[in-house]
Amino acid sequence: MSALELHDVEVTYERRGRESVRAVAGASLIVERGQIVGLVGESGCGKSSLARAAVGLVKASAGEIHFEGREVAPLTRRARPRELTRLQMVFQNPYSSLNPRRKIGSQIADGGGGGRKRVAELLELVGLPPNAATRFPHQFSGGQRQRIAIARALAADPSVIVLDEPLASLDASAQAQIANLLVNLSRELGLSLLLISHDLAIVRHVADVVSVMYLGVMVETAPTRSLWEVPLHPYTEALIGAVPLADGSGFLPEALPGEVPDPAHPPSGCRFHPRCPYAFERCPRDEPPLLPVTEIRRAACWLQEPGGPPARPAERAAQLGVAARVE
Amino acid sequence: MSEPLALPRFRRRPRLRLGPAWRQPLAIAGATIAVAWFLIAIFAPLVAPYDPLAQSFTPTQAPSGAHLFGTDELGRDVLSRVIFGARITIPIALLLVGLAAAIGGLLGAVAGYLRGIADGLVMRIADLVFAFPPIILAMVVTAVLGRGLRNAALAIVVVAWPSYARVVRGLVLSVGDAEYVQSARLLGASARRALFRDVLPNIAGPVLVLMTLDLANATLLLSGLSFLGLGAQPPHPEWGSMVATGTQYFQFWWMGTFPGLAIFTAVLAFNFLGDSLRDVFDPQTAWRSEDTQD
Amino acid sequence: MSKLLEVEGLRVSLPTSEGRVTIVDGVDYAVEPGEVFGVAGESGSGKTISMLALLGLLPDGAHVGGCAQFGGRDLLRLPKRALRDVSGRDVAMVFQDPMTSLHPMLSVGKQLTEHVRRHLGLSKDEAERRALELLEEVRIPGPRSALHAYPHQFSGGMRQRIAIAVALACGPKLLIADEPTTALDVTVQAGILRLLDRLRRENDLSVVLITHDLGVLSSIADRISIFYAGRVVESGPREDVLQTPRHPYTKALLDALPHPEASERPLVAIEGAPPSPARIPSGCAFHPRCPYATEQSRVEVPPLVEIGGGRRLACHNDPFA
Repeated sequence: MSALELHDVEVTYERRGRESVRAVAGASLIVERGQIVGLVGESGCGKSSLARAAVGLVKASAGEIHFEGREVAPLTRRARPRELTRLQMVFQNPYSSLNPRRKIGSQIADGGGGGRKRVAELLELVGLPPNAATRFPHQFSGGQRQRIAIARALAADPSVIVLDEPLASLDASAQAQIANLLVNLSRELGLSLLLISHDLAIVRHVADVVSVMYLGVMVETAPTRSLWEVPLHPYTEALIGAVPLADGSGFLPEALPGEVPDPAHPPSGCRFHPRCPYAFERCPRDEPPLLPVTEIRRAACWLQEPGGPPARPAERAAQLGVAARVE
Repeated sequence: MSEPLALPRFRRRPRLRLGPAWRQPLAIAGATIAVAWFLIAIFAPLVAPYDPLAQSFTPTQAPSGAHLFGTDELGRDVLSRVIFGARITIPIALLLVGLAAAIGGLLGAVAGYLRGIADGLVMRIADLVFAFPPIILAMVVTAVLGRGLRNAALAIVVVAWPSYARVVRGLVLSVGDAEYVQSARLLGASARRALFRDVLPNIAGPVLVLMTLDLANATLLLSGLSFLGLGAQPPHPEWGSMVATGTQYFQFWWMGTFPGLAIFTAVLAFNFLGDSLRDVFDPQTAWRSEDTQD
Repeated sequence: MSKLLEVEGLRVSLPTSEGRVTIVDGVDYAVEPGEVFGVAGESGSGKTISMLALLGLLPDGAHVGGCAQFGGRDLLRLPKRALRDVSGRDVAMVFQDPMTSLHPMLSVGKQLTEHVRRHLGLSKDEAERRALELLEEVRIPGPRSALHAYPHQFSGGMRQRIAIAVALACGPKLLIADEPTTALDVTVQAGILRLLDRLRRENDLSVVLITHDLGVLSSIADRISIFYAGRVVESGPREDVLQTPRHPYTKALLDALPHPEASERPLVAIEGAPPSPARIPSGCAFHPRCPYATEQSRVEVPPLVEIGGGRRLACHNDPFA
């Protein structure tokens, strides 16, 4: 039994006076016990909606979400069932995710009994002194607040934490500190993490497995190292190619032409085809399913065949005689 | 037209520039005048030189050493009447603002918490009240209930509660979506528990601001109703009704001018105070020392 | 070649609730024509404030010292009106959030044309042609229809392109870009970087690029200054600074970045957090976080000195020499 399983999840937002938007259009994701799964994609790809659906903050309009074999019901006015509190979430902005008017200790204690001693333990676990409990959030820096938010999530003795861009609003030095903290916590406590991020470099460092999302669907899932070595989906390749490296070489990263389309009107067939340099006749016609290419890799691209040798989209396109589009 | 180079928005500008709000001159002026009026209301019998109701002097005397504000058409000391007027206006304004905030706040919180039908119902009634000019609606209510100070106060509560309902509902909705509330919910807090622990304490500031500003409105409305003869009845020394009497004796300008000035200063003081409080509580101007740096 | 902008001894202090605080404490740098000058630093390093000071965009009560020579004039001593002329024509600025410089209620065309009409005195038709040119220049798809659209109808990346078009309207010599790509996706960021690079090459535009992201600077900056706690700790050509950093802070910043060849080992985080400007440590401000700090670092502020090869360094110990 996996720690967290999402099957064909859809999230639809109703908009008054306009057609509804399917932010997540059938996405599946599995987080195994003790695993760190990275979920990457551009803004507007539905990754935050998926994260919120995973913990029950928004209702999935279709599909199934299971946490340790138990169905995750969307939040109602009632208190969450005890078992579900072991599924926690940490938000992007540590300035808005802590109540400005309550002391740190009291907010951490929300997560369960144990009193002052337990709060001190949790603070120590995230690298803060016990006297932090008697202070207010505004007395801490962004990185420290994110530690506090993590301590609060840990208070519920979770087995899975979903983290929505936990590093995005932090300074470089704080980013590295929090990234290391997350890895250590996961290893020490056997925690599973679902790390949502737009920063591929960090995800590459932290995650065991990476899923790539585009316009509400998963386009590729693979162990981190092999994903970086040979990206199978053209979108993954474009994302990796756009990351600037601080090596001083003056290399300008590649831009991906076009924009993420309006999720209310997704393109026909493969959702990525209007921006894909290798799109051919089949792409606008049929939507490719997320199929296993090798035992450990799955990609949703008509260039890749099940059982075929994993190869970069450019190589596959050349093999198949598909002319790459040049912008 | 936009500047060639629009200014970056310095969100924390007011406080960066002025320091704590209490150092602002307007805040100090507002607080001083308001406190002065409160003290005058409390200690009116000690402060006032004469009995406000005693018709014991020559009528319509101009201001003089003996009667700083002169005397009115019935030979009463205007200064004493203005001082005792604070005893009517200020406690009633406080009381009815408190009442309006309690009723409106409760309805707003319920609407924001329950959403759905309850929300629709409360907000539509609030819209209905908002659709009329407050003074007209208050006049109608007083006319139905009968004239008199108590009914005028009730009328003001009727017109004042919707702004609290609206503000509190909006705040409950927006704070209710805040990530710290969602975090508390995920940790196992029920919606009601989160409402009391995380939502309501965070909306107290803006409501307090609204109440202070509303003190000014209430003072004005109360005086307005009395001016129209719907509020305080003679011989009560209410400021509005004194101004009304004053208008009938234009040649004796002091009869209307001084109570008018009393209304003016009290309303102004509450407005200054409310505006400064808003600067303190407004998240737009609240700033964190660690991110002003860059 | 003569410098386009030469800043010397720039100091800025601002009144805060903790009293008057020095945010920028004696910063020197120079920008040459047609170069991208990168300014890197964490929040609180004073990198943004030092740029706002040049254009007189600081909040009231700010004290500014030093000088900033631009086109034979000292920007810091220009009267407000003259400075506004300079900042509208010769120096332009774009921000992290393009909506700070775009008017939400005016069409893109209107914002572009009013601009050039006022500053360059063009006729209506000429201005419209110029606006169209600008939109093509920043690669807005369908520039003609974009003229009649409003900022909110565009995505974040497109808005930043429009903000750049507005900034370019009067043909500035210097563009100050403050974290222009921070809010954008990497795929979109790459496009903006390429745009800035092209503008620099084709229009001989100088760019001051402020960012916390050394990867961004590595892509297009010619020279780099590293800011820490209101001072420059190291500066020099991009390749040298990033490949052989000399200041322990620069080195630590680079080590904290995820690196492709080293994804297996944990990131080397810098301990602690950057100091608040109200509480800058004595001596070298980095000393409490620096493994190479000595007694001298604790008491004496290291001066920024030439170390050869166009590089400058402010460190007593120079551990990587």
